[in-house]
Amino acid sequence: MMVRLRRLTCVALCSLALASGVALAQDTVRIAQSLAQNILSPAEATGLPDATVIRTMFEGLVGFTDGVLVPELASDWSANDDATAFTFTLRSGVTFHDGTPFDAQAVKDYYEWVMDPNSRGARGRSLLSSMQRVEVLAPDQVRIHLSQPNGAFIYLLATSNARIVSPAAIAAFGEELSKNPVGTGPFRFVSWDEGQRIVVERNPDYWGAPAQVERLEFLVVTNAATRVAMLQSGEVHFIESLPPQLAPTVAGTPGLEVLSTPANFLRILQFNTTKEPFGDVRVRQALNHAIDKDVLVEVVFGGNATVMTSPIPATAFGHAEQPAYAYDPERARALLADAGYANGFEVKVLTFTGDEYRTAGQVLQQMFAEVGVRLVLDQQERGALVEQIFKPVDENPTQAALVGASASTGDADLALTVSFARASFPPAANNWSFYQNDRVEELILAGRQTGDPAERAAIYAEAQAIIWQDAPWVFLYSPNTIAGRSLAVVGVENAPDNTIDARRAAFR
Amino acid sequence: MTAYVAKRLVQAVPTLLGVVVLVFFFVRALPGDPARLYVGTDADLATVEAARRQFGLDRSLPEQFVFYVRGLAEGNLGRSFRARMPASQVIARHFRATLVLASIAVSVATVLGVALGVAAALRRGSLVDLGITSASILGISTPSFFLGILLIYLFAVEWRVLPVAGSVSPRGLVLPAATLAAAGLGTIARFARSSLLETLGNDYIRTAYAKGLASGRVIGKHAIRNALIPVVTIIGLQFGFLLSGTVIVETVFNFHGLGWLLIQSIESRDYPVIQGLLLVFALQFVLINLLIDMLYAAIDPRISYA
Repeated sequence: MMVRLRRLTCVALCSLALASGVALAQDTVRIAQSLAQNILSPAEATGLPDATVIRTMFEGLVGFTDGVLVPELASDWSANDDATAFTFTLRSGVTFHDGTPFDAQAVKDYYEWVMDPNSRGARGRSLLSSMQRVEVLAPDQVRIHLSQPNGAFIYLLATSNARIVSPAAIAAFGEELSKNPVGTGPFRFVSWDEGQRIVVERNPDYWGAPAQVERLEFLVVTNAATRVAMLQSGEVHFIESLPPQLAPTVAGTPGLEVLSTPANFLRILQFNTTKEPFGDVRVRQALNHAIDKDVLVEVVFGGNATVMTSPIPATAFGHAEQPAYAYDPERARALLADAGYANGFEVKVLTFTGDEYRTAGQVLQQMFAEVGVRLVLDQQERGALVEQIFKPVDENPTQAALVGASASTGDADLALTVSFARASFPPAANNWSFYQNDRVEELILAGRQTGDPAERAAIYAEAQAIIWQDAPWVFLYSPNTIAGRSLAVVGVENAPDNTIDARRAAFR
Repeated sequence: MTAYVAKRLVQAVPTLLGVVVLVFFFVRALPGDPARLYVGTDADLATVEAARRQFGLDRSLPEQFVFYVRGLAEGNLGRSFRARMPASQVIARHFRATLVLASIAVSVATVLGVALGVAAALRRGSLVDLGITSASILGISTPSFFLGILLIYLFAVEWRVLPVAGSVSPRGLVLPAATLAAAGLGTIARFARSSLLETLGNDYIRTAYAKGLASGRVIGKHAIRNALIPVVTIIGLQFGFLLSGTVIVETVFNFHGLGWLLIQSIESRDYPVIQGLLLVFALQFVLINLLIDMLYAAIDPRISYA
């Protein structure tokens, strides 16, 4: 009798499970990421998939929520006038997941570990390189001294790489720190099936509003069509990197919705200004006039993107809108003729494989053809492209490249520095145009000398105007981050840095 | 027999050594810097250099090679750049997944394929034969990504009885295994059918019938055993291919086996894992070929390796 009863229960439960698809427990939100996570130690982590998971377990002194700089572990902060020292008041009663108290000493110990050239925190170290020393003023007060003024420093502290790890965990786990994440965040680590799945659970001792779901699961699903099928079948509640051409499928499925969110990313055609004919500003401006960017955005993204209005993303602090390069093939031809290219020329454009880049490349090809410029698209696998584009100036064969740029800190300083400063010539960073302008160099430095937002904004506005005029790129568009979400779930959102913010996940 | 196996294994050593040397230099000839890909395009040079040192790529090529070969001699494939654990551990985990999937797919394909092939051969020219032959050709010629997507759409999205993702639960194995079995089943059925027909045309079969043996005994004892030899070869080769990971099916079903791992490792230029995987693939084929030869002897008493 007992046996039969048990069997019956099992049958009942199993059919229940079948009836409700595969989404069983209502306490776990499942999220499909497009790439595998590599590292869960914030100062070492490299990619977007890492940052998505790290955000649920770790916090910084400050952070971003919905693209806005907000206090996290510090309740308050201030900078001195020349932006060389930042003072933070810390929240009290905060503990790490391992029970270690979070206080000024923990901040000091952790950042000293990051700055130690022998530690594994190379990413955090390079990001926070202006940090000189950390001073404990009181158990709940800490001051960070910089070696040189840096008004953008607070934005650097808000990035994923600056999130704080329990110093006790560093001592305990050493080289294995990445596999044993211990932070202060609303979720704590449960398990990591490498390349496959990461599970985190609600942190019962969280200092702030507690998480509203028991667990989050991050699954690695590299194929976009498979992600969509898993969302449709109810196996996951949220999928990232929804290709624009699959967005209508998701939008047309009952119970699902598409989230399309502006992000800190840009798509650009960058010219190698050391190669003819791109040394001539008239040629570069001409090609900006040769592109109908509204059509481009419609064709490539079905409207899920915005035309660029400045050399930095509109979501970044300091963005200043510039007058558009109107679509004007006549004017483009005239400028080319002025520059001595009345009969046009041929340009080989390096770009990634993948639908977006191919389609965008083909649109550019057609529009360039109208002004006599023959574009040859050279699609390369990512590893090969990265190797070519990072070659130093005298070895770099690239004429032009259709690639991405970003403002990963959400601030103009880094966005301008990595793309337009002389110090960022490859292989050091991403100034793949080998663009240089003395005034821009001065302005980037000046922007760091002050912590005053209004002053900084004015400085960056001038820099953007100069770069916009100089046109080292054809300024194309800023693609939205597109995701699919089940209507059963709220609070899992696209963050402007192209990661997912799942901290407020909840079932409806 | 033991001597024969030992000899075959010794003969495989130069092949494997060749693979070791070729693959080592081949992965390094690919454009793309593992350190840069690991730390990302927005990392500074110091970070790239740190990763390069960590991976041992700051040493000269001959040094790296000696280091690698010395490791191999100790059974050490090196550490995965991406997963930060011994490459052998990474490969072993994905190998288990692929082994389970390939075994299920090959078993299903073998049992059904041989049964259908024999049925078709025995009713040659009938509607049954036509049906089985057409179905086999359909199975062989349907691209696996298409069949996979079709199965996903029906069973996971429309009817919601099975999950899309292959790796998470045992139920997830059903759809990818069915997809893989479909193609193998067709091939095996075709081979079984033609091989059995060919055997049935032999003189000794006619003799067996002539001396009055029952049809069941003729086919069961004389024909099928002989007809199985080319079929076993095909099954072995199929198993070998499936064991090397099936990139497309693994991608469609998000099944994290060896094929998936190979793609991931190539994209991130994870040299130790790529090297290890290719070595494993080569070894698998050596062993499977050996196993097939052993099976020949077991099936056909005239074949002997003594």
